[in-house]
Formats: sequence, C-alpha cells, structure tokens
Amino acid sequence: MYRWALVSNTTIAPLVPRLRQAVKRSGVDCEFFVAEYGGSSRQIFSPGSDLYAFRPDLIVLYLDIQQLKPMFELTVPFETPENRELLIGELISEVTAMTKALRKNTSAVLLTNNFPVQPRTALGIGLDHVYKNTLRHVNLRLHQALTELQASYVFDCDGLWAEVGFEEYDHRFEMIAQFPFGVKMQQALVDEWMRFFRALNGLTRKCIVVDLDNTLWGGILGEDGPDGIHMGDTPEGRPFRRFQQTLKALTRRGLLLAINSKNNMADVRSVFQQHPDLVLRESDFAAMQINWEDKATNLVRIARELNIGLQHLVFWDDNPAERAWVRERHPAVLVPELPQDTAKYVDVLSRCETDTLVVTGEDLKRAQMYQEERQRREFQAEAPSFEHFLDDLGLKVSIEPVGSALLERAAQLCQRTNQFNLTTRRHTVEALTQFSTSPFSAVLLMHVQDRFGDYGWSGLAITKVEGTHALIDTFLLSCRVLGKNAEFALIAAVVKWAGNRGCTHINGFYLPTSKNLPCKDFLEQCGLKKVSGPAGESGHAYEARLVDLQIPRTDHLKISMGL
Amino acid sequence: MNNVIERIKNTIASTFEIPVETICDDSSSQTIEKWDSIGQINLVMALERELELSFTMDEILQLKDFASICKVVAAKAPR
Repeated sequence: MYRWALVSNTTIAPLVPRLRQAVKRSGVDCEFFVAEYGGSSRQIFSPGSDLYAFRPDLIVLYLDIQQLKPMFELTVPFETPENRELLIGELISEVTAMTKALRKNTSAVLLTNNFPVQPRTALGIGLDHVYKNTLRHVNLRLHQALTELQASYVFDCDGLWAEVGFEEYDHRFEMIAQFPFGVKMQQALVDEWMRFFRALNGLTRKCIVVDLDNTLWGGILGEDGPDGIHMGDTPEGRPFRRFQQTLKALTRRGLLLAINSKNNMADVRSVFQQHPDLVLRESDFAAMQINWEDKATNLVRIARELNIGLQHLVFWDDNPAERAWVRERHPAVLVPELPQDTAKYVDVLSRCETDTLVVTGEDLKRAQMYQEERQRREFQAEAPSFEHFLDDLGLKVSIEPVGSALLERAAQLCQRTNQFNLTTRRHTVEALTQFSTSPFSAVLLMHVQDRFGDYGWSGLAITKVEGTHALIDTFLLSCRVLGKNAEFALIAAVVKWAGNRGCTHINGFYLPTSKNLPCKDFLEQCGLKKVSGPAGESGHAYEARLVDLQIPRTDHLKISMGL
Repeated sequence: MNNVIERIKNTIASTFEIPVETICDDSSSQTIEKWDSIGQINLVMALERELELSFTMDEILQLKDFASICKVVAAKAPR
C-alpha cells in the first residue's frame, strides 16, 4: 500500500478526490493523509505527529507565499537591496527549516513547490521587475537548497500557473476557504504530481512507437516517393523536422523509439540511407515493424522484441482510425490524441508518461545497448541450441558492494524493476545509502557483459544480518539479463557475503505482485524451503542453512566477486 | 424546471454522500456534516459542472441551503 501525504500552509484538501482518482487509474493501491488546515507546523516539527505515524512514502508540501510573506509583491519593490537580501534569506530559511525537519523525521520522498511569479502587479512596469526578479531569485536558491537533500524534488508551480493562466486563479474559492485553484489548475497540479508519482513507482513508459507517413515526415512515401516527402527546412517540412529533433533528444536521455508503419521495408530503408533531411537514423530505432499487417499486432511484436510490456509503450500515429483501433485492442498502450497540426506534436511529447527523475549513465547508452541486443538476437537465432548460445556468449559477471557513484543506478533499478523482483521495495537513494554504510547490511550490485557488449549494472541484492541469519530484503534483476542464469551468480555472492559475516542461515521473502511471477520459484530453486513468515505480512517466507543450499550451476558465466 | 431541481438534489446528495431522500428545503451546512467551507467549494464545483453555469461570489454566498440554491439557479439567465 503506497502512502501519500499532503501538507500545506493553506487549503489543499479539495484536490484529494481528483488525486485519488488519478492514482486509482494508474493501478496502484494508495492511502492518503492530509494535514488538517492550520496544522502544518505541528505535523512537520513534532516527531510524534500523525504525519510521521502515517509512515508516508511521499509527502507533497505545498506552500502559499501569502502565508509566509503577505503582500510580498507590493512590499518588496520598496525595500533597499540589503533588505531584499534579508527577505530572500528569510524565505529560504523558513522553507528549508520545514524540509529539513521532514527529511530528519521520515525517509519519504519530498515534493515541494516553487513560488508562482505574478506576471504583473498594480505597481506597474517601473517596479514589477523588482518583485519578479527577487522571487525568481528565491525560486532558484530554493531549488538548489531543496534538491541538495536526499530524495527531495521541486515541482514548477510557477510554470504551471504560466501554462494554465492566471484567469484560473479562483478568487471566490480563495475568499471562502483559502483555496485559489480553479478547476483547470486543480487538474494541472494533480497531473504534475502524477508525473513524479509515476517516475517513483516504475510506471514510466519506455518506448515511443511512431508511424512514418505524415507523422515523422510530411506526405506518403509509397505515393509521393522519397523526393516528395517533407522534413527539410521548408514550411511543410519544418514541423516534422522539429518533431524528429525532439525525438532524437529523447533518445539521448534513454527513451526508446520504434517504428510501426504500413510501408515497404525497401522503400523505408532507402530513405534512411539516402535522404538528406532525415534527422533520425535507423540506429536510433530499437525496433521496427514495417509491414502491411495490423498495427496492434505489430505493437505486441515490438514489446516482445524489446522485452518490455505493452504498458511501457506510447503509440504515436497521425491517423485517428489507427489510434482508435489500438486504443480498443490494447488499453494498456498510451495513445495520445494528436492535434491536426504537426507543429503542436512537441508539446504532447511532454504528456506521455515518460518522465524519469534522474538520467544515469545507463540511460545515455540505452540506444547503443538496444543495438547490441539486436545483434545478440540474430546470433541466438543462428545457434544450434540454447545451451550452445549461452556457452558461446562469453558472459562475464562481476558483483560488488555499491559505491556512492552507483547509488542513483541502484535506486533506478529498485524503482523500475518489476518482473524479477522478489519483494518490489522501491528504495530511494537515501535508503540505499543507509543500507550500504551500515555494518549490518550490504547492497550488492551485479554487472553483466558478453561478447556483444555491456548490459550494465543490472542486478541488485540487499542483505541484512540479524544474529546468525542473513535476510534478503531485496533481490532483483533487470529484464535485459533474464534467461542467462545470472541470478544464480548474484545469490552465490549473497551467500558468500553472509558466510563471511558468520551467518549460518539465510532467509528470503517472495511478495507476489501482478508482475513478478517470473521469480516465484527462485528461492526454492536455490534450495531454500518455505517457512511460516512474520505475522501480518502477505507473501511467502523461505529459509535454509547455508550448508544446505543448492544453487544451480553457472559454468557458462565467468564470475568475479569483489566482496 | 422540476428536472433542474432533481439535478440539484442529486448533486447535493453525491457531493456530501447522503441519501437523496434526506434532502429538504432547509438542508444546509447546519444539518449536513460534510458541508463545511471545503464542502461549499466542492458543492459549487459540482453544481457548475452539472448545470453548466458559473456562480458569482455574491451568488455563492447565497447558496446556503437547498431552497436558496434552487432560487439562485432559477434566477440565473440561461447560458
């Protein structure tokens, strides 16, 4: 059960029903806590408060500047520069006192707003800029101070108001209950918080599947020929060019692209090889289904080829009939409604549930990794047997305790891995730091590579020691390294670590979810036996003496352990 | 007109999660538990959505009980 708390120095409770609905649609079970009106200080600063007793996973802190510095926009333009500096300092201190207290008393993820800068005040153009630049300065420093804390993020409330427009400022609701948000702004806030929620809960979509004709370029290749399609520096071509450039930038931060198009492969290939205006190249696409078959089936093929779920796909097609068809056949795929005007595509790209919170080195190499995976698949198709294939892959695995440089990647693994994940605990960087620095626990990371390339850091195990028992808190493998028996190398490392710490027993836990069926029998395969678990926990507990374990052989892996 | 009164009744019922039959002319913030200032906002949003109109501040202040809500809505010019 995910626990989401909201704390504010003004009224925000009316947002909760809308938020509850949005979370429900995402399929996650969630409980909410809203600090009572006027109670935010007590909830934040008393370690025994209801807020902390609620044990939230995520806290949204919404601060109204009018409560902190009333009429800031009308007073600050008359202050001396020195006093302005003092005011800035006071605002920052007030906010950071709250976030530091939250950080101290809970390991929840924190999400705080920045302050909306009114586009104009009654004071006029001679003085408006003083207020505006001062508040922008506050926002910059606030962003820095808040993101220095672990697991603390800032959402751009200023940007949301600019997008929605100040007509959405509802003075009636403000007068009645200090709740100034019109319906559009309420939705904008909820949508923005959901972006963070999805990124924190492994719900990020990983691949945008695009059509070609009139989507990636203007015109129809089969009818207009390669010289008749538009994506160059002309009025017809520029919107498509801009769209391609944006998609290209998205691949740089680790998002995957695929093609789903009704076309002849040969025609498309020659465009990719010869057209001077193409921004994206064939190597930018992790998968291509270019045929005359139905696009819904193609999506299934793409998902399977990339080893991701339909829930990770975004389907992007200019044809409303195709969009409707896919929506009906695959409700799990996101099919954004597209404007007629290609120039407006880029805006829709930011509303496709593809947000991630951190870009890691892995993300930056992802396109290359998918190229390498395609080569592996070709090799596998040619191998005489699966065993031959594994033996000839030249797999190398190395396992070591996580260092500070890899904590982000470790957290990303915890947040995103769903299939081979025994307990699906969404640990943050802060939690992982605690595990890795404590003498009673360890976070082991596994790196996998083969003759085709690098899978990167793709396995993680967190083990805790209680007396002579080693408890596996978390054990997961990225789906890209499934089917290579690398998981047995990782558990062998866990066992070695436990043995070094003097443990005689190992305990594991399997918490079933809708997605982690692939690892249901893993602990049993290693020789652990089911035992009755701690009261109140759903799932299956396992135990074995270290000497009784029977970890399957991994002769095809070359393993090195830095324990 | 009856139709509008029914719709207002249903909106009050669903906003405050009470049975529609319990609503009478003097159902108000005094008699309905969830009808506090936040309830007032929720009610205004629900009525505006259901009846496709917007209330001015003055009108909102008059939405004190079922009877006066019907009166205010009836007095509004058709959109």
